[in-house]
Amino acid sequence: MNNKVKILTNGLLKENPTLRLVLGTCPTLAVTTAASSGLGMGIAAAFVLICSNIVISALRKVIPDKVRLPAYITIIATFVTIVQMLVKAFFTELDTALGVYLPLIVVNCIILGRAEMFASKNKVVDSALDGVGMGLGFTLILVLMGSFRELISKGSIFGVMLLPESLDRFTLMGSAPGGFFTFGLFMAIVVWIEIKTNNRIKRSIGCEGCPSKGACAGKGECE
Amino acid sequence: MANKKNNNYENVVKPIVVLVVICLITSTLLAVTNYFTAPIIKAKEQQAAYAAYFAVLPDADNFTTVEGFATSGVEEAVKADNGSGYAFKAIGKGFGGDVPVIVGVNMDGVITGVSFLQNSETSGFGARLYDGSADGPAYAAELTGKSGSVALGQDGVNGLAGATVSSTAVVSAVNSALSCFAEVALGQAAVVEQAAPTTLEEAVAILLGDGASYTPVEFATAGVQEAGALDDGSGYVFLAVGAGFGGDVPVAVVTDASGVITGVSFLQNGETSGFGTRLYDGSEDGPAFAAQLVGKSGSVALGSDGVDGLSGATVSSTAVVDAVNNALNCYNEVAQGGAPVAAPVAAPASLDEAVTAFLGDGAVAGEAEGAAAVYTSADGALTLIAVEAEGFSDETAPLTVATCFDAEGVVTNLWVDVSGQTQGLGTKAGEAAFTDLFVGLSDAAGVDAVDAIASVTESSDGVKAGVAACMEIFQTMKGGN
Repeated sequence: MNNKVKILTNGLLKENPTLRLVLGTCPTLAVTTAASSGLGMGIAAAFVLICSNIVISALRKVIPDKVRLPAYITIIATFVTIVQMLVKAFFTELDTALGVYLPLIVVNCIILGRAEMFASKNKVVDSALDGVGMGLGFTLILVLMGSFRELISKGSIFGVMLLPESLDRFTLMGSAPGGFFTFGLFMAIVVWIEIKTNNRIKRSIGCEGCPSKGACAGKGECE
Repeated sequence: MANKKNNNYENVVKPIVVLVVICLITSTLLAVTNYFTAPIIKAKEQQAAYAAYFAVLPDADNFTTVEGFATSGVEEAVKADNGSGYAFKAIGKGFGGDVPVIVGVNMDGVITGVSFLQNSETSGFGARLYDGSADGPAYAAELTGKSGSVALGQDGVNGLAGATVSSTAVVSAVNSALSCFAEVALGQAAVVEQAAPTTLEEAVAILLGDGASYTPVEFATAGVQEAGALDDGSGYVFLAVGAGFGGDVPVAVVTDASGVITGVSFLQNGETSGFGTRLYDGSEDGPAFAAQLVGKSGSVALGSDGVDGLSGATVSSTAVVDAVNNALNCYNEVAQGGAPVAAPVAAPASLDEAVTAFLGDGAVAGEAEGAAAVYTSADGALTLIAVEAEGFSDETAPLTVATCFDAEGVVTNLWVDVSGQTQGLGTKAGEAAFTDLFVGLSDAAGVDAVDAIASVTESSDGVKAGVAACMEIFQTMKGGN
């Protein structure tokens, strides 16, 4: 049981996909313009992550190593498309808010990364729990960043006006530069905590940090 | 044996089978989800599209799209199911592209509401239509309640202050919507805007209708590409060009049998957008200019007799006037049997070219005291004398003046080498406007009487002195003979 709980909480803090594993940065920057968009994206991505983790884990002994990437991507893409159709039909405002980043969940590194790193090597239940944990961790950071940016650029969180109208809004936080500022700030806080708790990890870019490095044909090309 | 079989199975068969099965299952899943969600998505998109129409025609309950209308300038037309009216998405041509306008019209033909969709007009100008400021809704309110047709500056329709092009685009869109209403609700004929013609046939069809036909005629006038006589004997048609800013400006001119212009149409040209292109881009400027030319004959000139041209597009307007004059010259040639007006010959660039131009081929060189060069034409009728006169900086830049006389000593032609004179000043002394003043003179008194060009005294006086010197030499030659 301890083991299961450990897997679940892994994604929340110890191996938080956004700030520790540094995966899925692109949608993070793009959809955190408001807290509600962050929440919506987080739930959509978590749903895809859990479903794909379950399926990939269930098929891990069946899918030959040679074709595992095409197989993973097909499975992930299917779930993303289903989510997209459901969102378009029942949550149209979320569709407008997420825009192109909804279909881009297919190439979200978190999902492919966890498929490679965990689901292909672990049992179904464990993989499902990992999906839940990672999804929650991702959503947590998205909502935190989204709230932060929304508060400063519009004065509200989840649409609830918190800052008085008279206070000038720093609207830059709602656009691209603001995303980078916020991400950097959050990363700095996490690193500070790591130093304080002697937990500093090495975050690398390029091949080292990429979940697909085992299967990549173009090694070193992304640097 | 077993190993090989295993390998085959592992390396080739298994991957294929697994992938195919995965794809089959995922396709099924997708198809099922789509089957359930597609109709819902479609309904939602339809609602969103119609949302704009509900805003302008509030009494409507639901809309049905109207098919098969022909009015140009209208992208979509919908009819309210409860019969309260119609709504249109019309497009006007603005500064930065299309200006989409939604217009609601009730069954009496009165505008019930106007709203502006996003456009690419300039921020702070045409963009005020939709950017949330009060200007857009104010303009919409000015248009609400109108019927028939609207015009900027009339009946309280003021538009956006300072954004005339965008405001005119809106008016054009609203009028297209009202025309479309006339077509779909009242059954009137559609107003279809025609694209600018690219050939003389198209232009003639626009000006005279599809039934007009013409037979091409031979011509030699410069600046004209096609000429024809109308088969019904009512006149002539010409496709003439003038040199514009970005190339030739083609103009189709229709005249009646006596040479009076009855129609002008501007073909597509390569002039600057917003300037010379206004001739054919559908704005009112082109037709207005064309109307100024109708009724003229003989020749036209910019700035006289009501021919104002396009404001701010002088080069293109001058090109049009040149083209029309070429057409009228051609009329003289084909209808009246006049001599074709050839293209103006480029001025001679050297003394030798001047000799050939004035005297023709076969000129004979001669000598005379005080002259730099003397030539006599082959038939002896013309003599050209060239002297070195004093211009502006005579030390470094001699002013060669070559005067051509006929047998009586009357100046027939003058060529001046002003290459050493000041550009824009002294060079004017070599231009036709000045040199032509000497043609027809035969004595020094006449030369003296020619006015020097303002601010170009040294060069002008140099030319005059040169011509006088040539005359003296000619007299000496003749006297000596």
